[in-house]
This record gives sequence, C-alpha cells and structure tokens, in this order.
Amino acid sequence: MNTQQLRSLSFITLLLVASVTLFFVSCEKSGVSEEEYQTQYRREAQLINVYDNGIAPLNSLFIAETRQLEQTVVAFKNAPTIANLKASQDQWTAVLQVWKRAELYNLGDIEDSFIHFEINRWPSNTETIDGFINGNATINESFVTGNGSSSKGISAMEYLLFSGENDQATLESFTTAENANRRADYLVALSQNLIVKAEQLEQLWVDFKPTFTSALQSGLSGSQNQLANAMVTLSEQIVIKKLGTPLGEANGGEVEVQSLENYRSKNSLISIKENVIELEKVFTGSYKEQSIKSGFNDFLVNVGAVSISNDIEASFANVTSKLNAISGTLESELVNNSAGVLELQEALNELEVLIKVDMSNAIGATVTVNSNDGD
Amino acid sequence: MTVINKITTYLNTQTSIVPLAIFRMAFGFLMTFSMLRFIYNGWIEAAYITPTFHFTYQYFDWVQPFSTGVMYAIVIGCAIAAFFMAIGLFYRAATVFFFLSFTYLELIEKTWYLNHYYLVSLLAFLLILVPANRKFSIDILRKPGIRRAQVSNWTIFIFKLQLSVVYFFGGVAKLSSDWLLEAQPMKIWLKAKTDLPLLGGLLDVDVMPYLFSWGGIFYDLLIPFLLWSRKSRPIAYVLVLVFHLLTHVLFNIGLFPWMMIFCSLIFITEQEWRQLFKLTRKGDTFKTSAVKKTLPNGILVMLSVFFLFQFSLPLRHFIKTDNVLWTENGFRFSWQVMVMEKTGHTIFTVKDAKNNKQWKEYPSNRLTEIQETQMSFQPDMIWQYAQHLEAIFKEKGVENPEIYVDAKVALNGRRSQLFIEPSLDLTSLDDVDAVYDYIVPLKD
Repeated sequence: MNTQQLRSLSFITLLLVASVTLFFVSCEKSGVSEEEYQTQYRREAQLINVYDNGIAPLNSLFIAETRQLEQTVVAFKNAPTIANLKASQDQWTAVLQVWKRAELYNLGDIEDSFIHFEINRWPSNTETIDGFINGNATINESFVTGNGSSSKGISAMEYLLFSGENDQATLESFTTAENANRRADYLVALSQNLIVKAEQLEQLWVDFKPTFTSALQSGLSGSQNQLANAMVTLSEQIVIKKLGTPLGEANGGEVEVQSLENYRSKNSLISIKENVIELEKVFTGSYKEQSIKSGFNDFLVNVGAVSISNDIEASFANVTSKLNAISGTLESELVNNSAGVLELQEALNELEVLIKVDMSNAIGATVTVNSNDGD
Repeated sequence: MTVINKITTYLNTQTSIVPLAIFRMAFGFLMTFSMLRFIYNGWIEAAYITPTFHFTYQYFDWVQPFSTGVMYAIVIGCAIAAFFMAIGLFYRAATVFFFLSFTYLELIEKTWYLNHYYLVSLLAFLLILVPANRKFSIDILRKPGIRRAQVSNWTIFIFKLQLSVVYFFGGVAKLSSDWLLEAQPMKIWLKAKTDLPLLGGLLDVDVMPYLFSWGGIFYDLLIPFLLWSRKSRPIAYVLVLVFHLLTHVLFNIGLFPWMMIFCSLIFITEQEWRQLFKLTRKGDTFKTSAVKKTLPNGILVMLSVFFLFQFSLPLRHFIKTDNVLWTENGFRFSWQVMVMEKTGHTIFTVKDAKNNKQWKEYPSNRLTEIQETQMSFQPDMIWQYAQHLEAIFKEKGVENPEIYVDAKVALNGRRSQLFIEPSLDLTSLDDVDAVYDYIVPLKD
C-alpha cells in the first residue's frame, strides 16, 4: 500500500466515523439522545427538589432558629435564672435539630468553604474555651470569628449550656463562678457568630444553586453523584464516629458515653435521628406532602435497579425501627443496653454499604474505570 | 536449515535503525512528560509520603520510600533520565537509571499498580539492551564513531513482540462471559458518558456496549498481527490511532492510549516513513539481507527467559482460579486491561480472646483514599492490611490478636456480596496465597 492509498484510507475512515456520529446526533435534542435527555430531566428535577424543598427551607429555618437562640441567650445573660437557662437549652436543641438535618448537605462550594466546621465541629476544645473565658481579651462576635472552629459553633454552646452535672450547677457557672460574666459574654458571642455563619451558609447555597442544579452530568463532578457521596460520608460518620467510638470500638470494647456527639445535653439520639430522617428524604425526595417527590429511589427504578431501591427503603425502615426501639436517651442506652446500640450501628452499616456500593454503582456515582487501567 | 537457524538468521539480519531511534525518542519524551505530570499532580506525596503504611509486592517488602526530599530527587532524576534517553545523551546510563528508578517507584506501593506502568518498566529494561542511540541522538555528535544506519532485527523485534504480548493477552483477558455476553463493564462506563457532546448520543444506544466490547476484543486480538504485516500496517496504524483516541475521550485512563500510540511506531519501517513524507535516501544505506552475529548468547538466553515469563504470566490465572476478575489471583502482570468495574467495602474486627476485648478497624482511619479503595476488593491487600493491624495490636500489648474482615464487593454491575469468609482469622494465614482459598464464590 503506498502513501496515496494510506491517505485515502485514513480519510475514508474518518469520514465514516463522522457520518455515523452525525447520523445519531441528528436524532437528538440539544446534542444528547432522547434517553439521556430524559435522564438529565429527571436528574434536574431531583436536584431542584432537593434544593427548593430541602436545602433552602432548612437554611432559612436555621437562620430563624439561630436568631431566636441569640435572643434567648441574651435574655439569659441579662437575667440568669433556671427558667431562662432552660429556655436557652431548649432553643439550642431546636437549633441542633435543624442543623442535624442540614448537616448532610456538605458538598461542592459549601464543602470547600469549610463552613460546616465553623458551625459545628465536635468535640469542642473545652480547654481553649475556658482559656478565652479566663483571659483578658474582649469577648464579642469578632473575637469568636477570629478563633478556631473547635472553640465555636453549636458544640461550643453545648459545652457552656450543659457544663454542670445539673441545671443548678450550670447556672452557677454563669452567676457565682469565677469569670461568670465573661462566660455569659462568650455564650452570647457564640450565638451571634452562629447567626453570621447561618447567613453565610444560606448565601453560599444561593450562589451555588445554579451550579448545583445544572451539573447534570453523569461523571464524578455531577451534582447527583456529589449528593450520593455526601450520603455515604454522613452515614459513615454515624457508623464510625457517632456510634462506633462510643461503643468502645477504639478501646477494646468499653463503652465511652463521653464520645457521643451530644453527651452533655443527652441529645445524641435526636442528632442521629435527624441525620437519618434527612438521609431518607434525599433518597425518597419526599420533603413535602405536595411537592414533586423525585429522589434516588425513582432514579434507581428508572435505571432498572428496582431491587436496590426496595432494599434501601427496607434498610431505612430497619434503621428507623432500631432508632425507635431506644426508648430513653442514647447515653443511657449505651450503658444499659449496648446490644441495642450495636444493632442500630449494624443496621446503619448495612445502609451505608447499600448506598456506597450498590446505589452508587447503579447510578454511576463510582464510575472511575478501574484504577489498574489508568492515569 | 533448521527452525532455530532460521530464527537466528532472522534475528541477526541487519535492518534500518530508524524505527528503533524513533521509538526511543517517542518513549523518552512521553516518559519525561509522565514524570513531570506525576510531580505536578502532587502524586509524590499521595503515593509515597502521605501513606503511613505501604502495600508492598510479594518478595519486595524491603522496597520502601525515602524522605520527601529524596523521593522528589528520585522522580526528578527519573524525568531527566527519560529526557536524556529521548535526546540520546549518555544513553546507556540514562536508560539504566530510568529503569531502576522507575521500577523502584512502582515497587513501593501496590495500590498504585497500573498495567502501563508495568509496561514502562519492561520496555525500559529492553531499551538497556539495544543501541537505540546510534541515530538521531546527541551521543553521535559527541562520538561520531558510534553512528549506525543498521541494527540487527532482534533489537526491534523484541519491542514488537512485547507490544504484541500486551495486545494479544489483553484480548485473551476479555474472553469472559461478563465481557462478551453482558457487555460489562462497558455498559456501566458508557452509561456514564452519555452526556458527552456529539458522541454521548451514540453511546446511549443499547447495542453500543456490545459493539464496544466485541470491537475491543477483536481489536486486541488482531491488531498485533495487522501491525506485523507490511500490507495491513497502514490500516492497522490508523486503527491504533482511532481506537486509542476514542479510549482517551471516553475513559479516564491517563497515559495508556498515548503509550500505545507512541510505542506502536516501532512497527513502522524506515521505508514507510520515507514514503509517508516523500523523502529520498541520503547517506546511510543498508541491505536487509546482510547478516551479522550481534546477539550474544547471554542476551539471547536472558531474552528467552524474559519472554517465557511474558507468555506464561498472563495465563497463570487459568491454573490459580476459575474467575480472575472476582478473586484477582493472577490478575496483575497479565494485561487485564479495562475488564472490570469493582467496588468494595471492608471493616476489620480485632479480637483479643485472652482478655475478651474487641476493636473495630475502619480502613479510612489508617489508609489513604486510594489505598482503601484498592484494598477493599483485592484479597492479597486485605491480608497485608490484616498483617499490619496484627503488628500494631501486638505493639499495643495484645499478644495474639485475631483479625477478621467483613468485606462486601460488587463486580461488573452485580449487587454487592460477601467477599471473604467472615469466620477466617486472617492472622492464621502465614502466606498471602492462602487467602485465596477463603474467597466466597461469586453469585450470578
């Protein structure tokens, strides 16, 4: 074969490839096939549902609750009574509940901003917090802003509001204890900083929304995959850190109540429940009675993975039943019936595997081409 | 004339050095780029510095990384050696250094194993044996006396054979029901690319994964023969270009397509280069019929052993296991290229029976992301990690830790399933090969 023939052959090959491609492209909408168009349409519906009915209302509610918390702790500072302390504790719990729903949505620009750390990093560094209170620096919101994430946010407020063995002891830390006034100042400053962070979070999401709801591609950068990965991350955190460490998995089997996330306020069960509720909402897309319920379950059914969708729904039901089986607090259950907590952890681990391995495979969230092949 | 005599005559027949010199330059420049890319992407830290534990290769436990500064020096040295190799400066020393440094880097961390990195080591080793710097090189400016127009056939033949091995056994690896009947993992991979402009629509058609799978296997099995044949070589190289450019666009497989495109240039003869660029011969002349004894017996024996391994390693899994994709027994070094999509999840349990204590070990606590991902579905690494945990717990004072793994793995679109017998105490296995006896058979 001579050069002329080689060139002709190359030209014919390229022409053939181009013709076949153009033939298929001509049957498409906006450069994608009808099937891909439908897939992206469903994906967009899911992401808009997540943002409009999940993320945005939670962000608004979080701001409202943090503002309410600031008013409550200011009232407590001005009139440090048991009643006002309890009001502050209750409002802090309301903030915690909203946050535990919003905690799931740590992805994209929001994850890159590390704002979730600023809002709730646990455990808090209590020595640092006490150091600030016992120091001389002026305590206000800007002072808190300049400090590290382990001395601020929801967890730091929990430390101050639930520091005593009982409410009376906690109250005394704000009234008769050394630097009681500075402690109250620090509490107020923390609540003010939390409002700032809540507002920043909302703005970050407003800015990120166009990207989030338009990244419809199947690859790793697609929003649906990021959402799936966020689900994996949160469920893994619950299994390993929120339950595993308290169950004594790192120390040979001795339970560690103080390793529970909210052991001071005894709200650890509520935290996990709220996490799971939001995980399930993202999966089913059921945020409101009237809203479009477009979730991962619909997507799985659409790609033919009905059994995976059913298994994950059953797994959520199993986790919920294990959560509901704990009648008291997680703190007391851990001491009195650690087997029940272990069952809960195992149920969550099963859920994690289903999301991380099966669901992610089915929707293409883990598609990276086996690493033996390239980079 | 006996067959052996014919082979010997063929191997010693003189031919143009041009393909060998072009191959040297293409390979050298590509490797220079590859090593610079390795530095630029921060992979020195990710692969060698950040991990506190390394998954070493069997019999190569002694290969360990040095400090950050030294590792940078080695990788930079490797890049410089590749560049010297490309321009033909201090060729022999550069090639030896490149081979040793590159192979050392690859041996440190098994989770970073790549088929084409293995190929790089093999080709670099072969380059040490041949006089690829006798044309188009700085060395001939330094020492004009070494300039050659001809080399023995064997110096080119060994590279052609090595590349043919990659293609052919890459095709043999695809002779599986997953690939041929289920079109997996193509179904998964192409589905993830349906949003590509223009091409995406094509990939959404149901028959495409089958076309890609069957096309891929025919390509792998036939392309070496098409490249060897003078008549079919032009169309073969066009196919090489189309196939690998397509894999570059569709799959995140880094340098592999470029490796094969560049390295396949070895098949193109000087005459074909001249025809392509309408060049006339000046100066160097050669007679292809001339025979010179240039293949020393020592090299001949070494190359025979080398290729004996090359022909047998890719087939060893047929003796070791009935499903190499699931067990991965004999998976590495056998050109199992792009044959599976596999995901796993592992949790280890450490028990101290004497004191009735128990720990859970989540790999993410001690391993990097890529280490955890790769370990989760590779039995030998699961065993290695258990060995590592055993050492850690012994140091903590647990005399006889028992270590169990809860491993779930999903392969080529199947549901996740149990991977290793959960009742197996991994510390009871003295040898890594024993772990393959405890793999739970694949369902479906």
